[in-house]
Formats: sequence, C-alpha cells, structure tokens
Amino acid sequence: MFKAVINADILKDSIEAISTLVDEAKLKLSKDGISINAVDPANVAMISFGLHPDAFESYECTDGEIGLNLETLVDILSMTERSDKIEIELDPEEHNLLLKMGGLAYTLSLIDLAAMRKEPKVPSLELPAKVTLKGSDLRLAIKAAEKVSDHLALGVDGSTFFMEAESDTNRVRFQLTKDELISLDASGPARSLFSLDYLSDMSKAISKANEVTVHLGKDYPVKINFSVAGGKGKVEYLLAPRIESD
Amino acid sequence: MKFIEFASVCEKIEGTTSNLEMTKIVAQFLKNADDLEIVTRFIIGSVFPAWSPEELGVGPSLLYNAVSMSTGVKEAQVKDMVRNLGDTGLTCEKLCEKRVQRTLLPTELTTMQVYKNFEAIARTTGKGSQKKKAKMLADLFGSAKPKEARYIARLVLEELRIGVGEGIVRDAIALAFDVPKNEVERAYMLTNDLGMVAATAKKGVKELKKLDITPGRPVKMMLAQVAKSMESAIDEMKEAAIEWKYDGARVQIHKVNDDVTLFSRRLENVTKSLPDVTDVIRDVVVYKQVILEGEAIAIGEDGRPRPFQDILKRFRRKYDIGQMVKEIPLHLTLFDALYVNGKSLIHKPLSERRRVLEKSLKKKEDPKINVTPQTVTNDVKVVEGIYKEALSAGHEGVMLKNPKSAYTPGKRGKNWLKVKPMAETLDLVVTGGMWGEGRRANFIGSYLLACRDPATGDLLSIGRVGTGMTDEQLAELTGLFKDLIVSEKGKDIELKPEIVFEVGYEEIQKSPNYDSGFALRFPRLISIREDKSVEDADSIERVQELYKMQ
Repeated sequence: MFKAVINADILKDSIEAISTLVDEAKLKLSKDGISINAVDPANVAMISFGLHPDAFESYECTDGEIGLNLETLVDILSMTERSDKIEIELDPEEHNLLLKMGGLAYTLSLIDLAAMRKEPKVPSLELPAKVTLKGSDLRLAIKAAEKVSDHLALGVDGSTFFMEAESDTNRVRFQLTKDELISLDASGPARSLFSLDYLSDMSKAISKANEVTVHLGKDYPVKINFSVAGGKGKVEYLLAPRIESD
Repeated sequence: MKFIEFASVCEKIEGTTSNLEMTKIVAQFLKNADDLEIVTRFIIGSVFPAWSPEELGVGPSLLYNAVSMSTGVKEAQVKDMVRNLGDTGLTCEKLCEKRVQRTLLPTELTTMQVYKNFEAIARTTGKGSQKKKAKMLADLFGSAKPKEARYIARLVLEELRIGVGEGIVRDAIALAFDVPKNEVERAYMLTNDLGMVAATAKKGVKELKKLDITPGRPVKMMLAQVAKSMESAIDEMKEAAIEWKYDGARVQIHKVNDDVTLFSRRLENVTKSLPDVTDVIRDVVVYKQVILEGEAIAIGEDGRPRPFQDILKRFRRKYDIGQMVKEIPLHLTLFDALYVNGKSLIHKPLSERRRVLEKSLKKKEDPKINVTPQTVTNDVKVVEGIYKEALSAGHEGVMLKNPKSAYTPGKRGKNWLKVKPMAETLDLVVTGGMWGEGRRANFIGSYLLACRDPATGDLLSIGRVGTGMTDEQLAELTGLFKDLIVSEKGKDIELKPEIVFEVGYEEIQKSPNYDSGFALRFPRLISIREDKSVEDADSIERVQELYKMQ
C-alpha cells in the first residue's frame, strides 16, 4: 500500500536528480520513506537516494518495491506548476501508479521488477579528502571545465580545493581556499579525473543545493552528497574516475 | 558459463586453420557448455536464431559510441584505430586493455548475462533508443576483459571471424553428443536454429528425431538448379510439373489460425512489411494451420512485372508501410504446401502436396492471390510453349519439378530445375578496391567496377564485385593489382584503371550509389579480360541498353 501527497517542486527536484543517470529505477517503499539505489547503464555512476516521510504532506505506506519509468514521470511532472500538490497512489493489482494533480489524473504503468537490472551493491570507499562547498560553486567549476575539455580533475592540495581541465591548447583552473569553502578536511593530497559527460548531467541537481560535500581520493571515485527537499531528502552520487596511463 | 571461457575458445579457433581441428574444439566446447542454445548461436556469430524477428539494430557507429563511452576514449580515436587495425573487435580489445574511464563495480560477465543484455538492446526501440542501446552496450564493455571485448564487438556486428560456419557446428554437435550427422542436419533444416538443435541433441538422438517442422518457425527453402536443357530435364524426370518462374520474391507463409507470419528467402521475418499479403492469407486460406510457399510479385500498370528492386523495397520497408502498400501492391502466387493441420508434408511427393495446395484457397477468386498454374507434361514442345509465354509476360522462365519428389529443405537438387535466359555479361574497368577485414586484411577484398562514358572519357562506377571469391583467388588478384595502387585512404584503394573484368549479374538496377546511376544485382567475376583494354570496356550506353531490355 502506498498513498501520499507531495509538493510538485519536491517531487520534481528529487526525480530529476535520479533521472539524469537512469531512465528507470526500483523504488523501495517503507514507512521510513522512499529509497533508490541505481547505477547508470554504463556502470560508471551510481545514485543513492532517500526521501523521508516528512518531505510529504501526508504519507501512508507499507513495505514494497516498484519499478518506475522515470523518463515518463519527468515528462508528466513537466505539466505541473511548482506549487501544485500531487496525490500519488499505488494500484498494485493493476500494476499502476496513479498521479493526480489539479484536474489531471495520470495512470503510469509500473515496470516488471524481474525485467530490471539488479540493484547495485554500494562499494565501500575510504576517501581521504572531504570538502564542503556551495552547490553553485561546484556547478561553476564544472561549467568552466566544459568550455575547454570533456573531462576535469578534482583535487585537494594542502588547504585548497581545485578543479583543473585542459585540452591540447587551452587550460582552466578554479580553486577555493579553506576560507572560501564551508569546510575542508583532508588527511593527504587527492586528485582524480572525471568525465564531464556525467558531471555535467549531475550538476543541475547539485547547483540547487546550498551545501555539497565532495569526497575525493587519488585516482579514486568521487562521492558527492547533498540534500534535497529542505533537508528531508538525501542524494549521493558516486562516479568512477578516468585513469590515463601512458 | 563465464563469457571469458567462450572468448578463449573463440581465440583458440581463430588460430586454427584445419576444419577438422576446429570441429573438435567446438565439439569439446559444446559438450561442456551450459546455456547451450545461446553459446551454439554465439559460436557461429549470431545472437538470435536466424529466423527470429529480433535484431540488435546496432551498427558500427553505435558500437564506436558505446566503446568510447565505456573506455573514455574519444570516438574519433576509436575510428582511427579501426581504420589502422582493420578490425573492430581488435580495436575494442585494445581499448579495454588501456581503458581510461573506470567502472564502479566491474562484474565477471557470463554468457547468459551478455545474451540478456543483447536481448534488452534488441527490444529497445523508439525515441532516444540509439542512446539507450549505446549505454547498454557500454555496460558490457565496462565489465569486459580485453579478450571478451573483442568477441562482444564481433557478436554485435554478427561476424565472429573465427571461420566457424554452420557446417562445422553441425558436425561438432554430432561429435559432441554422439548423434548421426544427417539427423543433426535434418533437424537444422526443419527448425533453423542450431542452438535448439544442439540443446535437443544433448538429450539424445531420440529427442533429436522428434524435432519437426512447426508453423511459425521457418523451414530452409528448397532450391532449384539450372537445367542443362529442357530436353535433358524432361529425359531425366520423364514427366515434369511445369510452372512459370516468376520475377518476384519468394515467401514462406506460416498460418496458425489468424496468426500469419511471412519469411523471406533468407528466412527473415517480413510480416510487418507485408500487411496486404498477411490480410489476404487470413481472408482466403481455408486451412487453420498451414505452411505455404509462393512468390510475391508486383505487376505494373503495363501488366508486366515491376523491377525486382520494387519488391525488395516492399520487403525491407519498416516505416510508412501503408503508403508503400498503395505504391507497390503485391500479388501472391502459391506453389507449394509443406504442412497442413498438424501434419508435415515435406516427405510427400510434389503431386500430393499440390493436391493439398489446390484446395487451400476459398472458391471465390481474389485478385491478390492464386495457386500457380501447373502443367504436367513429358513433351518438350509444351515446355517450350510455356517458357515463351512466361518470357513474353516479362517473367524469368520456367521451373521443371519432379512430381514424385519430396521437399528437401535447404537443398539445391535435381528435382527442381530452372530454365531461364542467360543474362549478358559486362566488361568493366577496375578502378578501385577495398582491403578486406580480419583474415582477409592483407587481400583486396572487393573491387570497384566502372563503365566508360565515351562522351567525356570518364569512368563511371557501377558496383563492386567481391563476394564468392576464394582466398586463393583473392590472393592471386591482390598480386595482380598490387602495382596498380594509386592511393589508399583507410581501407579504400584507388587503382590505376588498366584491367577489365568480365562480370556476370542477375539484373541491372537503377542506383544513386554509383556514378553511372546503375548497380548490378549479384555481380560475379567471370573472367579477367586480358584481351581487352580500358577503351574496349562496355560503355554507359550499353548498360542503359541492357537495362531497358530486361
């Protein structure tokens, strides 16, 4: 059983943070909220997402799991105003999710769970550097890198967090010192290279967050944590690095 | 089964030249394989059974995109490597060796997983499907070890290049499961799925013998030989069933109640492209379950058959089908029945199958379908008469069939003979070529042909000839042309025009792909005209003339 009411902007922001990586996802439903662990089809990026019941106007739920086509859901949500309230109800017998918003009522058919990818195991990583900064700053760094290259390096050097990107001819560096950051905590230097294909997609959701925590290592995946829905939702992106050996 | 085991066997076979040795390796592999249906198909380089409508829909560029995505190497670089190595599989292997983009949780691939992934790729259609397919493929490359990547890429392009064909796999199945070769062959001809044959053979010869013709699953088509002459054909058969040889495309029709499936000569499922044919079958065929064979023909306003290309357009069309049905309406003429209401007829003589066929249509005539008229005779004069009628109606010639013969799937035997006029040959100048791929990488694999334009002195391209040549022939020709290479760009070679090929073909078609505006259907090298120089080659006028005459 699942029946809830939620503000359109919260649902939109949440779903968009996920759908940028995966077109479909398994949603775990429980009285503690909704959670999703999904890996992108190329096995390069992962999202762990959780939304607390407090993020909803009302929330009634028993444990369950459903497969959802996020592309379609995003499409439907584009019909709403940000201030709309959305009623969501699961019709398990018909394998449908019913969405009511204003005068509109959608029936969204669920995806057969058996036909979906297995949920990934979240790898446990020890990342030596932890940086917290404004989401808009990280977005700026990513945007700047896009101008010169298709990948960038993120790293920590002493008490400085930096981004570097270069092409054959051009180069850009963006850095923030400890004072300009919200916090920096590093047990050693860190630097890893990442594909902008992924970071650019993620940056839209990132930019909306006041605070983003970035965990980095040396030629290691990056972990990016931030909140949505006024702190009632949590997003964690994990992105595998590029390693250039020559 | 781990995919790496499959990849290792492929590699081993790739380094083997003896067919016998290959057969042994394949047999050993099949004997121990689980996922037998899948790996049997994999080893001949196909993902789905040949008759299945499922296809990956992945071309080289999508593959490059996927491997670029998962290894982090730019697409342009991937293309460069393919050009240098002359092989997409090896390129993917190299790229995975020094992959730049890492993956989060590389998993060990199994053959089942690879197959499931292919299945998902095949089922992805519609808006944004190219990108999704590329991502799913990237997932495989993300987990693949270098050697696995080589064979994943080749499977995707459905060309494994290890030299294992159906023949070797048939022999290997017999060897692996200790069943007679002819039973394996029989089962394959009737089911068209080596995977299924292997899995059944494993259960023993008794089970294998039970495999039979099933409506919905195509049967390899019986083929005809060229008759030496009408006289000799009649002499041999005593009495022959004579039918027109229509200028159309062969179809095998499977009907189970209201479900109609159509297969082309190559056993591709063409049901969706031919809704008019499906409809008429559903309307007028009286049998509940039946497999019929016939020829789809398109008759133009002048009452003569339209060019073969027009029919092909119908068979290949995947969109705007309704429009195509109006533009090129098809007529179906039926000439055989292989199965009716639970009974296989292929072992019955043609005369008996014909009786079933003649009762297959409702009495009321439909202009879209008929049973091919047949005359049984022992008189060569009668055959000649029918032959002339067929030709003057614009069709290809006549078929002479032995009324006592069974339907032998996939065989080109003496029981079906065709008589048709020889097509003229063309003498064409060789102006270019293309390096082969894989084991043919050191040979020129195909040759670009051109006719003369006497007005300008230009040489106008008209097609390529390359298929059907043995490695020996290719080597010989490569030697002949080596000193004539003017320039090379990737695999493309420009050749100094000096040598003239005599080229046979089935038909001349209009084509925007070549400078001459024409292309040859089924071109084949007949001889090297050492007696002819470039100036003696056939002109564009001659091509136009021959085009009009056909």
